[in-house]
Amino acid sequence: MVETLDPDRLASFVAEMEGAGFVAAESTPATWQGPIPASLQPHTAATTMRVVIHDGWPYVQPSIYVEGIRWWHAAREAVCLWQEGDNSKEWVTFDGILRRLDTWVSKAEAGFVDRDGAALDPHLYYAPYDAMLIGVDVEGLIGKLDQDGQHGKIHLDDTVGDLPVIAAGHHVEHMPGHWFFRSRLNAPPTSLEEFLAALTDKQRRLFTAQMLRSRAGVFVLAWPTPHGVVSLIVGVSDQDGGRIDAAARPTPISQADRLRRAGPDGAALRRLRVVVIGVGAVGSHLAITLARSGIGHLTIVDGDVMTPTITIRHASPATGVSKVDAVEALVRPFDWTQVTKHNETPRTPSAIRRIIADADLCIDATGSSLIAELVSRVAATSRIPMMSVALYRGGRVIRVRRQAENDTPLVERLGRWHYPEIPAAEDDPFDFVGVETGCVAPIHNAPPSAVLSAAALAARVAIDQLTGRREEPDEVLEVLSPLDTPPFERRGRLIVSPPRVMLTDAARTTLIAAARSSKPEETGGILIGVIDERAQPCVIETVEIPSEHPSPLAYRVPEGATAPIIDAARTRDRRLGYLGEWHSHPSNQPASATDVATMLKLAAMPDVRHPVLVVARPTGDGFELDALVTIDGALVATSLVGLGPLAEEDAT
Amino acid sequence: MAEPVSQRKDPAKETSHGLPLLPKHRRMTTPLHDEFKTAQQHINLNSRERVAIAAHLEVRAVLSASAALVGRGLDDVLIGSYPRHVTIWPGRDVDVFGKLTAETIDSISPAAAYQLFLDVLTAAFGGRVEPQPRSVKVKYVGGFLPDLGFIRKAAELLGEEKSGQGEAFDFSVDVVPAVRSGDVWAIPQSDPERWRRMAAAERWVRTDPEQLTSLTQQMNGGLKIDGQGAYVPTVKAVRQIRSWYLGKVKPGGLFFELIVYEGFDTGQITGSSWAEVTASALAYVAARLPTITVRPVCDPAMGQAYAPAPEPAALAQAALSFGGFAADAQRALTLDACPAAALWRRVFGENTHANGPVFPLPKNCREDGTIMPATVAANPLRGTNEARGFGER
Repeated sequence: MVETLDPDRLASFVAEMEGAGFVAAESTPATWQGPIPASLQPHTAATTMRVVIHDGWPYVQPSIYVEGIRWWHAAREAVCLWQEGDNSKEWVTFDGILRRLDTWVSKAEAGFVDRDGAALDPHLYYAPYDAMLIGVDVEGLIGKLDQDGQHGKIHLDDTVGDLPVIAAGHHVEHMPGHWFFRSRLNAPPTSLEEFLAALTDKQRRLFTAQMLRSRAGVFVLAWPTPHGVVSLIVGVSDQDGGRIDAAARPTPISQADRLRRAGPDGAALRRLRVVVIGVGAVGSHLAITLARSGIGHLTIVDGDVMTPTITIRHASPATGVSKVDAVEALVRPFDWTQVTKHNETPRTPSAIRRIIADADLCIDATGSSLIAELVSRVAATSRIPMMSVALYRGGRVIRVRRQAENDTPLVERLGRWHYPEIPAAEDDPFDFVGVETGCVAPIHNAPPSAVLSAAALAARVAIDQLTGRREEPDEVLEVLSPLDTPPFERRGRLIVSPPRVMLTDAARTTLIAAARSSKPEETGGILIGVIDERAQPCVIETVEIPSEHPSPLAYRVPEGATAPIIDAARTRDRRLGYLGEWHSHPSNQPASATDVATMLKLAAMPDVRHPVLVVARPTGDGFELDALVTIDGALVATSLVGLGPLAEEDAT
Repeated sequence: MAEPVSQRKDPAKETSHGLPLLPKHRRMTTPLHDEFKTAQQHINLNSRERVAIAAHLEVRAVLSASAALVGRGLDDVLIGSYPRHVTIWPGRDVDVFGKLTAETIDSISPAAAYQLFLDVLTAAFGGRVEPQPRSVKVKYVGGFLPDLGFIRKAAELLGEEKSGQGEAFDFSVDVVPAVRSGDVWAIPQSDPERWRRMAAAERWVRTDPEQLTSLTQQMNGGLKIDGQGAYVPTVKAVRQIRSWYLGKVKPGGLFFELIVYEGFDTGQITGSSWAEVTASALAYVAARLPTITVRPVCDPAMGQAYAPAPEPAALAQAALSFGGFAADAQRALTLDACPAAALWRRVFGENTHANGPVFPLPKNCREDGTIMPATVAANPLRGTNEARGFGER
């Protein structure tokens, strides 16, 4: 009878209804009639209501009909209990429906003033209803909404775009009409008679004159509600058979209305200027997203043209036009964004400087590391914040880099642990898919989904910078598909951590034994080992250098002590070298300010790179070891990881 | 002409390369033999055993000098984990059975027997004696070592070539008085309040720790790995794992030892490598723990259920922990050396003998289970020769 995945629940629901006195209508399928609840009785002469269950229950709300109800949310006697998209499923029990009805009545009696009762849909109450979509900017048309009885001339313009709109004034080529404003209306008109009854005498005379003059017209009635101004658009035509009228569905077209979906930063972005250099695959989607988000001025830069193969990943389907023209056409509907085009590929500092002058943010989306570097250097000297977004390794990795105040300049990031290098392809056949006629570079294998992800991420980081929030780090790496090399072997946003320190059991034992036997005095020495393929220091040996003046408060490495130890280590294994320092504390205390200062001083010395510090501190029967690495002017705690002995070097 | 039956290949038994398939139950597993041997050394007492034995000899000398004890037929013997060689690092308690062979549960009271030992030991060791509920503890703490003569004697008994002084460590010798009870022995009830009971059987507890020592030696003569008895090292491995993860929480090491004994005795703990036997033992323990309340583990020396029975909550917690260890161990059998060693390292835990993890890693293996490449670039850094200072403050 009713198409549903839950026949048992439906049977239970029907049983509940029938238990409340509802009876199945013989002539109408899936319809039950029964007594109205007490809360509705004062508001209608009817004593019964109808419940209609639709196919798709419980994923489709049932309809409730009560004769004589004249309120918002009760169109053509159908009581609208839940808003479109309500996921509550309150209606799976009849008790739920009754409770909701009681709530609805309370809201109706109060005038539906709360957000739950918001409705600006008077066209749904009018019969007949055409469902034709007509754009209207009520506040733009009417202006001040405080004078009851206001009116004005309008016409229906269907030449603007795909959507006919209500425009001001009369136009010889378009259907004429009037707008009418009433400062108060209790209920939306449901017929032409009620529409005319809602007008003032003067407004009615204007309606009549219009119909006499042209036998047709479009009329807009607007009035305020607690949730905003509503407008009812009615088209009327006098024909030989009589008068025909129908309501259309109004849809807002003002900038303010459209920008409400631009997100919470729309207003702030209206004042700002962004330059996007490179409006290819990623850049085009990025530019559109920034425009949609409310950016006030967009400068787009690209010297390339659209070809059929480019359209696969590009935001525009146009071919044979320049990329900047194609993107400008896409931005056009977002009329709050002014677009400046540069149909060029800038390669000189002066060109970049000219293009990015006055920008609040400049974004390189060319996918060229050379242009990214050039732009970053010019932007740095011009003190203009910049960003770069690119896809790597066949679209498997996205990198978005920001260079603004207090960020590390792009050109200084190479080799720094905060900024892991994306491993090079080394002939990975996945990354590129060959070449094509007319294209100078191999075709990157990034799929459209990766392009969209990159553009979305770049847009988020750009808006984060433009709004001043700066909650994003200056470099964001996102792995869409894992690579073989750490740290890119896990999907998701990369969390960069300092390099771990590897430590062999033998080195650990030597260190702890020395710390134990020297207690309560401090002792220490140096760490010797290799750097592994992950750029991690691997401590193979710890050598004690006894202090010349043992003390429980300090430990000192004497002058000249290090070199002989390194030389001796290298006679055992030529691969070994200096990695850092270690010492013990007599009590359970971590690295001190003295330790930090010494390590930072060491880091600046020649033949020392990112020195490691291991501190042994006693806990209970044993010792805990803390590892720290000196990176970028700071001593950063990191983890110690066990390592087996170093395999002998291959003699061949 | 058809191939003679005798020369026809059985496709179920042969592969395309002509080599016979291994029987299913003998899947190749990752042995990590050297690593297990090193782990065993980390668990062993090494030179501490010499010191512990020496302490027993020193205490024995004191007891043997007492006419009151000798007159009652004193014959003391090491019991507990030491004579069974299942003591694990750090080896804190040396248990001595002070047998008064001329006394029975009817001829002397627990209080009287206890007082005899307390008086003798207090006279000899003074403040280092600490009375326990049913034993007398002689402490070797704060660097105290037995006399060098006893240390040399202990080394001789252990067959050690070196006879240096040995490492001082904190431990104690626990002497418990014992008298005859039929064909076994009896020690005082653990609750001294019960020593005043009228019935002798209620004042004493029957025990036969020497029998357990004997049974352990026999069991260690059974299954062998590379010519070495598998039972004792496996018991020690299980004790180490229990000690690291469960610590002082009951049930203690002896309880787990008896489960392992049962597993070996019934042939359910087996294997052809240390890895396989250890994994088998952990699996047996994990499976057995949930059944203890229904089917208690047996003390093979006494032929009765081990007492006192562990609390169900403690058993449940132990079962949960050992379930995880067993799963890790089984997985480790199937992995390559580096990831397998990383798992065993986690299972075995740590101790202060190894100054960290008990289970070592193979060459170039990282604790995260990955392997460093065979070719490692030379580290050119030499550091600085300048003096520099560090400090806690």
